[in-house]
Amino acid sequence: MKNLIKFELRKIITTRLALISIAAVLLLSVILSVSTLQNMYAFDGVSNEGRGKTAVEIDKSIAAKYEGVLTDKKIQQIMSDFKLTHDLHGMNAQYFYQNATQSAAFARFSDMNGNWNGDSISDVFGNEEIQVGYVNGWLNTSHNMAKILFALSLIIILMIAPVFSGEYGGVDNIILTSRYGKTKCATAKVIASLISALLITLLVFGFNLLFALMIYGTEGLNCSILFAPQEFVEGYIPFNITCATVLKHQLLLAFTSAVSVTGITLILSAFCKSQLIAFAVSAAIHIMPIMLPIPETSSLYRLIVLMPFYHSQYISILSVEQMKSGMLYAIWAIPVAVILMVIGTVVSRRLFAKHQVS
Amino acid sequence: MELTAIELTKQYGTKTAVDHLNITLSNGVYGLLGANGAGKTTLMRLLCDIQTPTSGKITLDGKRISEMGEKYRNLLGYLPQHFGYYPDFTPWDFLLYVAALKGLSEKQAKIKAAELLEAVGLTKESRQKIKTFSGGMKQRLGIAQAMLNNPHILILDEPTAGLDPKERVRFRNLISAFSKDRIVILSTHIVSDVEFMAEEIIMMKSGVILHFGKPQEITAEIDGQVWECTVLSSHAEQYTETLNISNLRNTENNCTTLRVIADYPPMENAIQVQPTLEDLYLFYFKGANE
Ligand SMILES: Nc1ncnc2c1ncn2[C@@H]1O[C@H](COP(=O)(O)OP(=O)(O)OP(=O)(O)O)[C@@H](O)[C@H]1O
Ligand SMILES: [Mg+2]
Repeated sequence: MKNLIKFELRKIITTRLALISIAAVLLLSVILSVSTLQNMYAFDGVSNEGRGKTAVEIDKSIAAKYEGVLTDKKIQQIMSDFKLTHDLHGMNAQYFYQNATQSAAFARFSDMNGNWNGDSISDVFGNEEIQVGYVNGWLNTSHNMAKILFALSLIIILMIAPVFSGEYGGVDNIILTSRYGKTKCATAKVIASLISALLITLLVFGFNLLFALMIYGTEGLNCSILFAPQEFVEGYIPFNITCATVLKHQLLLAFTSAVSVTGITLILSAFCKSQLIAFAVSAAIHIMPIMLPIPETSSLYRLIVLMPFYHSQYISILSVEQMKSGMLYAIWAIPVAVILMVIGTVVSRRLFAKHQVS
Repeated sequence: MELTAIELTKQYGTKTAVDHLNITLSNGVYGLLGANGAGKTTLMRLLCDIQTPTSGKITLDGKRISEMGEKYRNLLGYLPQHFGYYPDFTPWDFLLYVAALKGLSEKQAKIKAAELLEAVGLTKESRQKIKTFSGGMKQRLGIAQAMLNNPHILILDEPTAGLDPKERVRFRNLISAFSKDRIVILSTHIVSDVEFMAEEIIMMKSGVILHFGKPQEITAEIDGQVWECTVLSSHAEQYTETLNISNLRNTENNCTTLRVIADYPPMENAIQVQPTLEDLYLFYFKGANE
């Protein structure tokens, strides 16, 4: 069995298309990370101003000044430290960006003109204890990761679509007449698909994580995502969780996405006579949830976000209300992935064993 | 060992490729002869359990092969008429892969693969990618993979297609040495191949068996119906339209000798000759492709 799995792994991973795709997604990771970094800007309100790595350093040193639990006093301090000195020409001050800390405070505590809007911390965050720190880097990283993980799911589909359908081009004759062709071989194919999907997910996620670690360090990982720049306020995850928690869930969801996609693609791979069709149909099914016009308020939404596409688009699933135990709803992605994989295994094995060669 | 097909039928839509076929095969080499579309490949696929019969059944020593599953396939070796391969694999990798599918241990697999590559004359090319192979080389690789597990039932669909004369002889010898105490079925259009190798001939037409027996026995069927006559070469053309001609050969003095299959002497100077399998084949399949 080990031997068969090795062969199947080799057939999945060492195709030129698979290798090129993996290289492409790693390149995409680098491009996104670097361009995000290049676009970062920070001004400390006095004299230091910069982009890229300098902006990160400036932002970090500003965040360090207000480190710890967020208090009303700190809010007032930030508001006065970064008081707007010039006319905004009608622009809403909440959207004005000098640096990450300023943007985080203004997004929630400023009025149109950059004056305090009168809200206290408990007005905005209730009784939550908000840890302040430099979260901008990691939040951007996880944002980019959503895009990368979407591309990755397509690559997984690309790699797995030929697992069964690729044999229908003629090797099926030989496989299905060999002793283990209808039994262990199909199982080995399923296992190898799963291993490949998990491995490249680990590779891509790990690569991005390391890259971000090099740029942003570990600072901010233990800080709340609620005190973050304007772009992470509206439509972002509304819970007082740390950056590390988001990343952990994202990692989990990257794997559940990989597993779910593998399950679905295996079925289509065994069903479709051509690998191209298997790929196209699997990809279409994967992307389909985007086309479903289901509003967040609908009760169906909770089901839709469990579809693999939304695993990688982590914000939606992480935004569904927390469960009574305090756990995030996102953990439901685990049983979904397990069920899809089990169905995928059973159905694809059956379809392959019953396949009529022609 | 006895492989039996009982009322075996396979239909594709309205087309019946194998039609209520009954046959019992025991150890020996069987040559399956038939024109294009006769149903040879379909019969072989059914025997390999990679197509499900529309009706009827196949048994091995009384047990249905579809229920024997792995046990049956463990006895089986199959060379498909057209088969796929992984272009980036070398024959060595490919054989090791098929050996793994057949349940050979890695050690056995390597010994057997080396032995078979030698037997089909691919040792030198064993580390070259398969996509660089010629048709005949691929065919030889196909023959090798079918024999990896020392199958008791070896089913070869047009094994000699694409082989040059030298390789054809090598193949004959390989099969002769291998076939003892086994069931070997090979289909072909090349009558001389089966004439040399097969102990029994199965003639198939439109999904049914026309004839089943030893070559000498079945040629007896047309004893006294094969004639040779010599005509002027310029007239030979017109005879091919009216007579059932199995062979023609130019001789001296602008003459052509025709080998004719007919109930009565086709012309005055006709000489009766011994029928061959080729004559029989033509006798049965005259007009089969028209
Ligand atoms: N998958 C299929 N779908 C529909 N018809 C088929 C299929 N496979 C075979 N047939 C038909 O069944 C008949 C028998 O085909 P088969 O391939 O068994 O013939 P064959 O004797 O192997 O011919 P050849 O000498 O050309 O290989 C043919 O008429 C063919 O058109
Ligand atoms: Mg055929």
